[in-house]
Amino acid sequence: MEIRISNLEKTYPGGFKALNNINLTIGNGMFGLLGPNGAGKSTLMRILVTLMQHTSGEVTIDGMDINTHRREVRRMVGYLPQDFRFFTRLRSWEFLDYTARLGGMNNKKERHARIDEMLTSVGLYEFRNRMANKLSGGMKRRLGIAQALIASPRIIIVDEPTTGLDPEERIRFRNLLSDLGRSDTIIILSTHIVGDISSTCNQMALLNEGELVYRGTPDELVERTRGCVWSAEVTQEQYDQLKDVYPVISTIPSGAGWEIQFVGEKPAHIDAREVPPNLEHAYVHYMENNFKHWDL
Amino acid sequence: MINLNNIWTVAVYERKTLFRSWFFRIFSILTLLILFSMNMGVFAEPGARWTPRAIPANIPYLNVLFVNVAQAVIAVFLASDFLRRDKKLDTTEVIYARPISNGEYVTGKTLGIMILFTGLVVAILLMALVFNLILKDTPVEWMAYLLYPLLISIPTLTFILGLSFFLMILLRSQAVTFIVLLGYIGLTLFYFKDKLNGLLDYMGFYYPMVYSDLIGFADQNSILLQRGVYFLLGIACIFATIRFLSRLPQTGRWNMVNLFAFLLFAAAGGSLGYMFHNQHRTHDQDRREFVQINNAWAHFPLADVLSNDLAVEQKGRRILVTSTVMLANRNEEQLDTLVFSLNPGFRVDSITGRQGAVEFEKHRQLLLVQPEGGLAPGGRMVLTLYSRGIPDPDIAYLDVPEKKRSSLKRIILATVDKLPGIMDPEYILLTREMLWYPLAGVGFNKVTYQPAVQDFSRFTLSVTPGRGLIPVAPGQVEEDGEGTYRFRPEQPLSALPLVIGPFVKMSRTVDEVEYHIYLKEKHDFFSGFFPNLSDTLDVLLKEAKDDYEYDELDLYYPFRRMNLVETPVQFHPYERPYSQYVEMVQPEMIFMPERGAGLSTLDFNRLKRGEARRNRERNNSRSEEEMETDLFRHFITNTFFDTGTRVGGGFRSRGEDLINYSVGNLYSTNPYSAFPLYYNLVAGIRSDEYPAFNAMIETYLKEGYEISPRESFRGGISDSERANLALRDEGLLEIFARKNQDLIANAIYQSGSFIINALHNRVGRSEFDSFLYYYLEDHAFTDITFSQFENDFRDAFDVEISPYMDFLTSGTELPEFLVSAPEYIQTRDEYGDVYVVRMKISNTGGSSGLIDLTFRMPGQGGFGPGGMDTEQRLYEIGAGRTKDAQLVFYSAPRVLTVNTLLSGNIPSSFSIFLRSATEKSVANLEEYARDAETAVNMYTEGEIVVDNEDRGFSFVSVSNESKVKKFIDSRKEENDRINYHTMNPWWTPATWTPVAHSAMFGQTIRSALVVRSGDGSNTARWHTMMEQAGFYEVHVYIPVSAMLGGSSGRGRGEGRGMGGGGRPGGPEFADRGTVYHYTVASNEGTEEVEFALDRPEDGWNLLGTFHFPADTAEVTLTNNTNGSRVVADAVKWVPKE
Repeated sequence: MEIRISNLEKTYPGGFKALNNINLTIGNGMFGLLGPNGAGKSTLMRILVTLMQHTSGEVTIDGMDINTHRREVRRMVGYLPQDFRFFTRLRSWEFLDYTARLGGMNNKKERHARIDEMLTSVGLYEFRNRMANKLSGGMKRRLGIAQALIASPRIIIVDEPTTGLDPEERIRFRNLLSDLGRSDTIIILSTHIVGDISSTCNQMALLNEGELVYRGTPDELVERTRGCVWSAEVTQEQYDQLKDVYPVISTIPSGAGWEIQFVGEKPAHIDAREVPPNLEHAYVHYMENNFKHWDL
Repeated sequence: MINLNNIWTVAVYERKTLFRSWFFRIFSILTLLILFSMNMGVFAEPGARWTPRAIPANIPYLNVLFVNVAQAVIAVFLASDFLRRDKKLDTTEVIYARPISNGEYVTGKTLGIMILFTGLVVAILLMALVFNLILKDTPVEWMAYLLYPLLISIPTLTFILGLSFFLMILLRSQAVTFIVLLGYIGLTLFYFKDKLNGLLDYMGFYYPMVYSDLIGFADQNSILLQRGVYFLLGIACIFATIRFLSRLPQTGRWNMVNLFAFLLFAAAGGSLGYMFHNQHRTHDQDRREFVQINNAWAHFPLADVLSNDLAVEQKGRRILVTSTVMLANRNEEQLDTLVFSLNPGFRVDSITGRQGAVEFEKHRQLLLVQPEGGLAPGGRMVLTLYSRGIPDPDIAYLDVPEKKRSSLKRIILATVDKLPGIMDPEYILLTREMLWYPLAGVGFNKVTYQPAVQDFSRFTLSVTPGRGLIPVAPGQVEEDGEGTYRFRPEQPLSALPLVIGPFVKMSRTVDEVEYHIYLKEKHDFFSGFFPNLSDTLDVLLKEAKDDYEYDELDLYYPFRRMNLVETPVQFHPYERPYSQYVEMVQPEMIFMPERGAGLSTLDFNRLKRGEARRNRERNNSRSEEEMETDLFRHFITNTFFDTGTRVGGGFRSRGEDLINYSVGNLYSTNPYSAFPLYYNLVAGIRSDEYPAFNAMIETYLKEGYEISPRESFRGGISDSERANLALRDEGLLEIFARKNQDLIANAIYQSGSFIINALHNRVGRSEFDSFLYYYLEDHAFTDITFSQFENDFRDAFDVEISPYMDFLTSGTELPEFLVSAPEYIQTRDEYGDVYVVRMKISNTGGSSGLIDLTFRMPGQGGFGPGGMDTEQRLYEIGAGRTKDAQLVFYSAPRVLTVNTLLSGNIPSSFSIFLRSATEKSVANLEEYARDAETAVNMYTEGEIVVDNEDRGFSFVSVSNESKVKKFIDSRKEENDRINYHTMNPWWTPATWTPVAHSAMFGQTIRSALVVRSGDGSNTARWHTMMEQAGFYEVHVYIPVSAMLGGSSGRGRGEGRGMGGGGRPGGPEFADRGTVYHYTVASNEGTEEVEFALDRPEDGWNLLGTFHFPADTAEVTLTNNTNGSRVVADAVKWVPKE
């Protein structure tokens, strides 16, 4: 499976350019799409699931143009939108039944078995008769992913799936996706939460203001940040000076001052020690330096 | 490929989601509850009326009709709500991202809603069915349970859902869509209604769809067209929704398909609409053409049809008619062309005469026959016409205006078609109006506007009906054993009806008259109410008939038979303003609507319960038989032998509405009255010159022309005064040409009342009656012409009738009466007190007139209603003549009501209170009314009076109203061509407006002007020329009795309690406390005078004394006042000694 995106552009009727010259190839496995709010992630996703028409460029899935093969694309795709609410008057299993039937699962017996299986795997089996709108936020998300997966899609596109989830729910959710990512499936995970990607994706892209600013593995991105993440103990006065110049990642009170981590060149007048970077550091570094640099 | 599975999946879950919404549940429960109550109240409740359930199909019909309106509104909300949710929330994106096409999605959604609402309709129909099964007197019409949801609910839902979806996509705002659609529904229900023949009625709310138990729908093709329009447009909208749905289509080519389907269905719906409209337009065009043809041949001399031997064969809806007519030429010239009318739906195959085939030409209803050699004066001829076809109902009632024809006939909400004849394979009903056999001459035309009085001809009729059907027609009937029935009417007839239906016959003979009831099997809903009457029925029937003949009419039933024939509920003959005859009654026949629908006198169940209740309240003092006797009498007397009157606002009979179709006054007179069997179908005085004479005689025989001593205290002008004013301006024939049916009826009544009372006055009432009744008896079933009648009348009394009739031709002035203040004297003779009233009456008008004086004196019952004795005097006074009258009474008259009948007086009737008599001796106690030299002078010597009707009066009207208000006011004016209004204490026009009331000042027209208060720019001015300088008292006339009513003062705190001129306990003087601003002016200067209406005199009020030079003097009144209105009537200058 391969999704190939070439010179993709999307301009809204008001003239706002949401995507600009995106070129990207996505293969099997988990693919993370990272970027701040308004970067164009959701637009890209909606184009991929055929809910939106792009302005120019081309998107193919295994060589099929998604513009001319919408039915085939829709058969392949499972989609969990960003702000997902349910039909308020359907039970959990009914909702899954609805989407499964539309997904082409016509055999009633198989469908019901699949629904039970999905409900079990997302931990909602005992809530199968509860009205969907009566589920907690995490349960709703899980039901959402269940409906995306119910018809065994080969491409799963999830938009900001962990927003608003508690840590436990979030870990569970990531694990669920990781399990799927091992099969012959493309999973595209769009998020602005770096942790979601660092723990699950082997490939990723960074979007900002409609443009693709990075594509590769999360490790490469982290590696580029090595030597740029620092830790130091500072007084209040130093901290005030420092935070105007450097993006401060963490601040912990210690003794008379603060134990802080920040990203950037090593400052001369402060005793700072280098810290091994992670994806979050890399993302902040990119946001602060490369993007600005690009802009210039 | 279309995936039905997807459609069904969406439908199932949409239905599920919708069904679980509270909104839908509450709506459904409410609808069920309301319809349960409706079914209880309208059909099942013990006191429920019979009419709605007389037609069994009405039970499902009314239920479907009601739920249809309710769900149209809810469907709009739900449909727009659904799409709103689709647009805003991501839930739908989960569905949109699935492999389902837009078409499948929208179709599924529509189907889901449709299934749910159809389920609701089914639930309601099941409830209706339970009611239906419980009602023992109403069988289940299964077909109706299937047809109504299909014809009403499905097209309505399809259309409104499609439209809601589509508008939502176009407007992209739920609120706007909802408001637009609600507005549309409101417009449909309250404005469009049945406009364009019901084309705009998408809910079918007004469209006639009553399903008769005899013929089913009256016009199923039109119903299919009308409903088809909305079904197809609904589908078109659904395709448009699919095409324009804001979701990327699955495959591009479907876009084109959907667009094409949208256009195709829209065009198909539009075409059906066009066909529907065209069908009705064709009917209208046809009718216009029929009239044009009649116009062209209106004056053509005609042959008389002496006899007509008809043979009819029924072939489904089609009939074959062979007519052998014997003709006579009573004209002075030879007839080369014989003019007949025959239904335009008939084709004439051939016409033969004694010498073989005869040339003819048929165009529409006109049949022109050219026999070789023509028909010589005094000659006779026999022709046989062979014709066939389906009679076209458009030919009937060409004179009935469109407004009347299209007015709705409804049973509760169920609209009933109005068919002048029935052509159904199972039921044929043909009357003369349908021109089903050839009639000499042409019908209604706009050249003569003649109400046709038909000749009497001898008829025979043989009928071969369709299988299982039985024909009904006048005359002795014989069946030949091979399915052909021969009817031989004993008398010549002016109309021959023919009914063929699936009848069973119930018969009995009473007093040598055969009574037959023809009705469909199992339609006898009435016999069971009279189990104890089988022995006495004959006596009761005879009694009721005798009472009517001896006490009411003094005319006798001339036929041997009386057939009551059940007709489909859709049969509807129209009434005419110039006659009380309605085709519901035919020779030997009265049509009754199926199972008595619409006749409250046939509501035996309800009437019997009422009777039983009253009996219980009276301790069961009456036996079952007595109660049944009353019930039967009530039915016979009120249905057939009623004496309900026509003029005076709608038909009422003894306080009960007989015809209870809920909307519109369909008949102003009882169409089932047997009266035409005594007059209209027995005699008729025809006249080309005086066509209304027959109607006048008819009204006289039926109701008489009672001179009503009543007077309206409301003011304004009455219907009879309106008719008088119309007769002043136009002749009777010109009034006929106008479409105002009430005016025509009133004008005939006013003229008839005038002429008959004048003839009474000339020859004596009993002499007149005696002449008339013997005359009609002697001339029964023959043609009578006016000139023949007048000659015979002249021979008997030496009195001409035509001068009175000429008075009704155009350009004749009306009489106008001046009545002096009566002198009221009390004196004595040898027997006791004698009261003398002396008065002078002048006719200042242009022609001779009648004036009635009714004196009322307290009788044994005091002043209360019915307690007054009355004495009446009627005088005929020539134009420009004056009479001095002395009237003598032996008890004290208290009120004199003057009724000027047909005159230019406004009001035409007014009362004078005779308060206290002067005691003095009177030498001559003879009554007299002798000619006087001098006319009545309303004024005292030396006084100068200027009334608002006089030349010396003028006014300035300025309106500061907004354009909208002006427009509304002007529309009010337009609606009323004759312009004397009633004073309304709550609303006064912004410009000076004429009002009339007997309390106002005036010679023959007692009127004033009224205007709303304002800034003083509206002024009224009375001016005169003073011949002598000097001091004069200036009086103004305040018609207090005409200014009663509620408190009209805006911003006035006072005015409650007993008003200045108000009568104790009656309405109070409405203008109390208002201050009028007068200006009294001459060339010596002007003086402002304020006059407060605190306790004004009801009449002349002194403004003050002023000096005037021998020059122009004037008084001006402005509308600048603290009250709400200003009334300007008359001003009087009285010289000061």
